[in-house]
Amino acid sequence: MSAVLNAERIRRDVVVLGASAGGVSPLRELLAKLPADIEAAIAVVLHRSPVVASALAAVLGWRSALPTHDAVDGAALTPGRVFIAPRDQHLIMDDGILRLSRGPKEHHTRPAIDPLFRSAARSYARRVVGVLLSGTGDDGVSGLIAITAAGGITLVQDPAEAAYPQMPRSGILNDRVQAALGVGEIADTLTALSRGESVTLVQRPA
Amino acid sequence: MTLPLRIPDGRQPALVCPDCGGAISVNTEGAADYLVFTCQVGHAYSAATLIAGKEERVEQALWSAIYLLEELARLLGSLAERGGPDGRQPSWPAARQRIEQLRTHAAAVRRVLDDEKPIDLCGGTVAERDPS
Repeated sequence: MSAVLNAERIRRDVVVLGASAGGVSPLRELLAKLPADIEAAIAVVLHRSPVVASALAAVLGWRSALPTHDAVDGAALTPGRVFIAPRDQHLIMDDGILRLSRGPKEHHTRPAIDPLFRSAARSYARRVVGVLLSGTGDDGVSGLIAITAAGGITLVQDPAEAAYPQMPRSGILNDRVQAALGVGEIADTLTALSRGESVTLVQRPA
Repeated sequence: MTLPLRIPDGRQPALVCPDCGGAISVNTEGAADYLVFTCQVGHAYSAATLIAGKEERVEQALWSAIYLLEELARLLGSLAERGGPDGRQPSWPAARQRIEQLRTHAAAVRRVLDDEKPIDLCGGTVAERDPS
């Protein structure tokens, strides 16, 4: 059985990644596999403590060819860069500009994945690819639904390879994402989608 | 699909936000009717993360009860040493009785806390990953 992603061959050049428990290692692996010349802007929310400063951007950008930094309020959303949500701030896309906000926590957390995903869907619609990786709970699921409703593409990490499969599984159940993939396949898929290519996937049994 | 906790002709469920105490409203999103709970200021939850927040609030309330019971016992004890509120009741017998009851009740709530067991949100419904 196979499925085709992006049969319309639209350039999907806004990538939003969300992860929680068990998310550091798949995020590192994914970012390390993206090519230096990828023409997509990438924004990441990984649940993190609001009160502990950490070098998360450096940790996640380890071995990535792409510059990886904590996002700064008002910065332009630039292709070929990775923007990480800083501690205690929601990261939001607003028509080409990144915004940080101490808005209400969602699922008891800030940064949360849903505000980023929803804002990307609102600003970029069909250009968005949303990916939910390892984690517990449901943060990101409402955001995936918003991306799907806006005509974007949604993916999750294969729950069988996620350290904490609940979040990807909730994405499958509640958003009916287009595909559940291993992290390596996610990187290849994002790269192809950013070029406006269609991607044929061999579907594994769920 | 019927939304949970809606009153018959109203729009609000009888729920308050675990983060701020504001009224929560519930809606569904997407083709699978995913439940989203949102309070007036924008705290948002799924059913599972709302349950997690409410579990936390229940525990906080029980510890608050223990604190209040023990605090009142301490207050009465220290006033008893001064002869009661008016300073004219050596040993203040009414306080001694009440202090004993407060400590008994604090210990009872402590046992309730020991017995409490938050729900396992995956329990019995989702097969866990093969550990191999």
